[in-house]
Amino acid sequence: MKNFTNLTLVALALAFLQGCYPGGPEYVDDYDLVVTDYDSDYNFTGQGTYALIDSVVHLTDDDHDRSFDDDILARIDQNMMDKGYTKYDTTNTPSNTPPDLLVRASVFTLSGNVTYCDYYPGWGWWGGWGYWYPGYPGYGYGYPYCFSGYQYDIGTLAIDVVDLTDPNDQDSTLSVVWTGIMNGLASGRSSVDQQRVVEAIDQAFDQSPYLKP
Amino acid sequence: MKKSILIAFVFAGFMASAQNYTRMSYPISWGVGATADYTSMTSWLGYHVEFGHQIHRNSYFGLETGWVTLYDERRNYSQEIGTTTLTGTQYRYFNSIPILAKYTYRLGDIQKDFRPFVAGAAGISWSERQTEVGIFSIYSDEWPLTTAAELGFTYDVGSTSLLTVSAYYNYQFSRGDLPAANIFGIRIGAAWE
Repeated sequence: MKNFTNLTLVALALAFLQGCYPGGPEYVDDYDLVVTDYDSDYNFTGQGTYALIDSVVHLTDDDHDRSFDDDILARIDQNMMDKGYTKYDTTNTPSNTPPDLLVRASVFTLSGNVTYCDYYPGWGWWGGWGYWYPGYPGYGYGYPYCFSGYQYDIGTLAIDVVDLTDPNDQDSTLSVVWTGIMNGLASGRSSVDQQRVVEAIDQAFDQSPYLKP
Repeated sequence: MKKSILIAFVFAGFMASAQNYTRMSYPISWGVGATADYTSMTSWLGYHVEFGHQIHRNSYFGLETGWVTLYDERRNYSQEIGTTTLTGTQYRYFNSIPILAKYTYRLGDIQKDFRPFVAGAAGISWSERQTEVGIFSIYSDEWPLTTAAELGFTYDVGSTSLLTVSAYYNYQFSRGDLPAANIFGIRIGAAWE
């Protein structure tokens, strides 16, 4: 009888405690994630001008809302200028004085685990969206770092900063020196998503103190 | 994780059924030191089972096991890993299932209802530490060496049953990727002789 009582108590305790296992995400924004990485060999000091590709690149054919695109570009501009960068004047600056850095924003969805730097170079040439600098036609992006195992989710925004001052002519690549990835930015509620995107962009720049001219 | 907890429960239940004293307690636990830096919230989740033999008038030798989960949430927390910085809501878990040989000494007259006790234990634990942020999970589990101490009292409530209340401390040595862990807590439960 005593043995039966002990085993019954253990079973009851098991049933009770299994149901009490704590925590975990409850809401969609609990999964929000801002990841940044940079080339530790790159000297950001002295690189003071940047050009921003004037459209957000939508890499996949999903139904991503384009109504945030202007907000995304404006917020990137704001953060770059807050850090002390000077925006490249495409109208009045001669084409033989390129900016030091090129900034690109893109939105996409991919399923499953992929490696960020394996994916992007295949997408290829950066030229052709607004700001035009004819120096490196056909060049791809070269990443000195990878986010291995990263899973792209709905509404992922990526911002890349590319060094235009030191192209790698041997393999026709321009070095990506900083990347910010903001994951999980589409809950389906536009007003909330817009705020989350803006806050995520701010966070990406805030957590990158080395990103300054 | 749940499978491990189930195995520990079944193991404890079967072993408890074959001994001449059995004790079951509900622990309330906290991390100490670096463990508290990782999970600072009070843990209300766990159990403790102990069984063994009386080897002398006031001395007992037995085994103890159980399970404790320490948990914490850190909202908008930034963590650097090399050149990568991740910011998001972190969900932190530390689970531990100790398997310890234990010596207990009960003070006071054997006829008294109220009797303090002190105990020391040593053995191993299965411990896991998991940090979840966004779609990332940083996980490690190991079998660290573990020592433990306990101070408490028993109160005779009749029919060979005792109320038990104690404070306990577990120290798990670092092993592999798992840093050393300190857990402090109180246990409230019952024992049967």
